[in-house]
Amino acid sequence: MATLPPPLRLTHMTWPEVEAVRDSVRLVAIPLGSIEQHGPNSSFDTDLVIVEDLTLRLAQRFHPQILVAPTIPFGMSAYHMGFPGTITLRPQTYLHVIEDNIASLVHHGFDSFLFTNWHNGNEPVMTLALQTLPNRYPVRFMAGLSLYDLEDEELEKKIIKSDTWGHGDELETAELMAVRPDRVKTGALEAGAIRGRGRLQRHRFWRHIRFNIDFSDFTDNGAVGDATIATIDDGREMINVIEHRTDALVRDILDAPDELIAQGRILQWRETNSR
Amino acid sequence: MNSATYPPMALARQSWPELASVLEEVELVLLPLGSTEQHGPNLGLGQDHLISQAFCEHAAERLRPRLLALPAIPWGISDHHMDFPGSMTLRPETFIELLEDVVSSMAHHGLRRFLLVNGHGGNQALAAAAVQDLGLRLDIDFIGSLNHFMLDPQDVRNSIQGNLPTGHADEFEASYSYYLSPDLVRESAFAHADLDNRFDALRTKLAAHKLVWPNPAGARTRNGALGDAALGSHKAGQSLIEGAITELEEVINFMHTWSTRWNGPPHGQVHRQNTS
Repeated sequence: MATLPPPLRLTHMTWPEVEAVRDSVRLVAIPLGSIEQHGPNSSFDTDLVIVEDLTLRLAQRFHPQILVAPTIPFGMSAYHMGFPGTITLRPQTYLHVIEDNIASLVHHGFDSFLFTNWHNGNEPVMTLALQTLPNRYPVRFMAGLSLYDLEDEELEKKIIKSDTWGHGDELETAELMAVRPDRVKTGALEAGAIRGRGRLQRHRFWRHIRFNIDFSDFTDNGAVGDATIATIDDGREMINVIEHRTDALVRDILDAPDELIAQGRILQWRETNSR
Repeated sequence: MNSATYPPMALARQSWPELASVLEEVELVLLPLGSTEQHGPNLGLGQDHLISQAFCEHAAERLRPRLLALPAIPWGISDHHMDFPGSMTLRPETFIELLEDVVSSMAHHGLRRFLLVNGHGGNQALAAAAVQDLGLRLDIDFIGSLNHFMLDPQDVRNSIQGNLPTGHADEFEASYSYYLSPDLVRESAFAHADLDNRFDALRTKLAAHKLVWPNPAGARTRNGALGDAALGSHKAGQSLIEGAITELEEVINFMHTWSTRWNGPPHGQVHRQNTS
């Protein structure tokens, strides 16, 4: 395998280095993480290290077109608060943190942004940021991608053996093994201790309704799925699929005609109106 | 109206003694969400919130006295419609604080369960964030959200849907208004989607990669409408709305047994430890 150049990672650069790449950078990637319990199976920063690692490697493959901004470590993890240690932001706070990051980067001349996400609970705020921030700042392109959405369904069927899964399970733990094995609590791995009916997941109303719940309502150890059967090979295989699909997406974004990208931007109506 | 069907199960139409008389029987408070935004030449700007309010009031009457309908919040997240005159939009932080204040007020009066009934696709992320956040922080038992249009009977939708992509000011929305609020319908001005096919192709391609990329309504359709409003009718509206209310009743009955929070604490293990 060819050696990739190091990623353009803002936190590890100097200001003259940032200035030097300003013209080559076509997308600023902003990873969205979380600090939340993953049962006894992995560390609080599981989502954070997965999204950060995948985003940095993406930036390596697209060097020097992608600059990686600092990972936003905290997300919306309200439904994990039943377990000690989880930290959650209010949506307003989270949006303001995202907004101030965008405002700073826009100030420095960047105008195209891709949020990368590895936590389901972050999706609403990520979407809200995409719906509204392009209206407030001179942004050319702003979009988001929850990287787990690119997991392959057939491969998922092969890897997942549990009836109920989705958190600290055989798939997520395998993916973490492939990315950052030091975060997996080898020796402490447990299957989810599901209580009662578990998650709605397979019911026809799953698509109909969102409602308040805490994971501690239906899993005694915080895991949903069976991390004890996770293997690094399964993890590598799935991560590989995700990376190929991410590359295809990023190529399509970068190759899209300029005028269509501009057309797809939420209009800056406040600016228009004040003219 | 006779006393058996009185008072109306819509808070804004009640006096306080009337509300006090039904408070014990109300099991779920409906909060209609919508928008004030352009709906092409086809429908009035208030479409989304007026329809979700009428839907909730209608449901509350049919299922009385189980549901109480609150007044609709007239505005939503509509940045993507702002390039058409008349559209209004809330900042998400404003919207979520508004929801918190409304729910807190009702909680003060002893109501414990809330359902956000949304009629505007652009509000879905906001509603999902609010359910997570308010469910954690407020002293209430249950808070959920759903889109009333997701409850439509699929066979009725299939029977009226045309060939153009739908989703806004289309045959479904026209049907809702024919049935619930005919004063919003501009039949003589009806126009089907004026699609920009080149842009739509890029949008479809990136969406297939699971990219979340909200676009202005006008990027996709020059007149602000999708689908074909002319395919809508009062009869279809009646079947869609009444069918959706039947489905709503099933969802509520299901939540009774499924939600771990419907009947309040104690919840999960760690919560039990913390509250013992």
